[in-house]
Amino acid sequence: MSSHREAPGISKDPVADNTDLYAFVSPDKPEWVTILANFIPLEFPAGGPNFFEFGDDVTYDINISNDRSRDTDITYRFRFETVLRNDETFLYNTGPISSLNDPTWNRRQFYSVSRVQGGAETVLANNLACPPVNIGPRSTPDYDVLASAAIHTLKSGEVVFAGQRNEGFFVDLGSIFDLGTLRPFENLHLIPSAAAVGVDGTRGFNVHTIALQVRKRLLTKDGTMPTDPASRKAVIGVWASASRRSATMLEEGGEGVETGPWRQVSRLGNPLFNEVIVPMADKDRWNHVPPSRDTAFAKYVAHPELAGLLPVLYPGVFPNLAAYSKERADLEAILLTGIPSGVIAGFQNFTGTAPADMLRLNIAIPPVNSPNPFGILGGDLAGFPDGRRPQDDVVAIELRAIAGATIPLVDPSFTPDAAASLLTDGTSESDNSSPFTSSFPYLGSPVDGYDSIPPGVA
Amino acid sequence: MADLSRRQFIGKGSIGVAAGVAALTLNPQGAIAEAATGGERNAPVDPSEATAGEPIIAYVKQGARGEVRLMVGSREIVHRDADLARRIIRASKTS
Repeated sequence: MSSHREAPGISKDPVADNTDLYAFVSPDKPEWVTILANFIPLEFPAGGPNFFEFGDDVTYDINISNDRSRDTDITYRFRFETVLRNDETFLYNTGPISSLNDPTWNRRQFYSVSRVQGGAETVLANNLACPPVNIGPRSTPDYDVLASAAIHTLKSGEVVFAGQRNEGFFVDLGSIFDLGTLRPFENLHLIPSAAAVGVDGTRGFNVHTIALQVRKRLLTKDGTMPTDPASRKAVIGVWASASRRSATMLEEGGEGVETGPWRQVSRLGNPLFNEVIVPMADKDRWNHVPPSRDTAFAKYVAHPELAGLLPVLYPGVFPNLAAYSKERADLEAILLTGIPSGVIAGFQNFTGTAPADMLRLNIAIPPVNSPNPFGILGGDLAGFPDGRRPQDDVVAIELRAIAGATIPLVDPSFTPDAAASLLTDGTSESDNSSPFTSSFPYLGSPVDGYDSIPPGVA
Repeated sequence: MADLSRRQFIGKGSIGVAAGVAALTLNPQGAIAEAATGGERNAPVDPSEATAGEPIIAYVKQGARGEVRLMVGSREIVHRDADLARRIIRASKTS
């Protein structure tokens, strides 16, 4: 998956597990940037009575670098608190929930938002209400009304939302982790079978989203709103993280203490980075350090394991890739430094030569009316790896890049194999259970528990 | 129908721990330093720093070096005090 359960350690700690990160110029508000940080992988919608929620004992951060470096300059911080209204029931709700203040809603979450800049933390808002999870037609009969009520505009100007949404990331999990099978091409696989259509393995599941919409000028170093894509001020690096207290002590009876410094336990910049680039033995370490320490992981980008596996798994399909032994400067630019000026006409998202896994967004590139899901590979400069939009097919883009489709950007002597520009797992945005929305928070309404269908049930 | 949050719950549970650790009086001559660890720059800062009633967890990883790490509030303090480390280790061996 993009970063769902991608490392052994964090796979056992779902509430702190970053799953996806999106950063894009808001299509309906071009002077604003939207950042979506998803957590809690594979929420089965019917999973009550203790439904999914953010962790009160986790700090969630959205980090932004705006000075052409890999250091964090601005952090938006979210902390949650769960409140029980009725301690004499086992139920999440004791009747239909018709508003965020409905007395029938027993287990509610609230959160604070703060902005950290220059070493100082400023609390922007407290006691912001999350929406409930989507339970079903009796409990949450008008879910979209509840979700809309949970969109908050802060006095400082930012717009925020924190709560359940439909999983927007589409991927054929079942095939990819069955020895790298891509169903549309599995007739060419080392262990062949008939080609088939892709199956979206995350369909029907939900996630928890922290959504932030900010005016561009609040994100730039000098408070301006760049309009020239060539300007170094136009590029921001974005990554999200979750932290836990360094010390936890459990006492008899379930009580306990959490104290000490907050320690990062999960992070996410580019989709699939820790998932398919970093070896399993190093994945936990990667989650515990910031991008400013990614020099240690750059070797995995320079010689990605998957680029070596593709010619083995698909015999005879990738001869040019198999013969390519140079460092993958194309992937280093896409994932670790940003793409410098002069490589792609009219585009750059370079943040310096120091390697760091961050989403890099050129905020001077305006949104387009008809996004191409293949982003820059499809000629759409407003899509991945220029930030990431929900509809970007990052699985296909990264598969094609790793297969060699982007090598000519930095090494014109290389001719990609014909298959490199065709690779896909066969899934698309249309496989999602709920359509993306045209306005904040853009991810679709969560699937409700009553109507959800367990895997394997027709 | 009492409102009860997890933070309030943890706060109630922490009182006994604070009292227990208070018995470990620190040597005022002991060297104290903030831990310099990876990712510190980005570590969240808790607006409500440690107060007198807040729990403290002492962590002795390398007693031979006389190092006692104290977790308090959102800070980790490295306290170098060979005698304190020895006394904690000795106490841990009592039945």
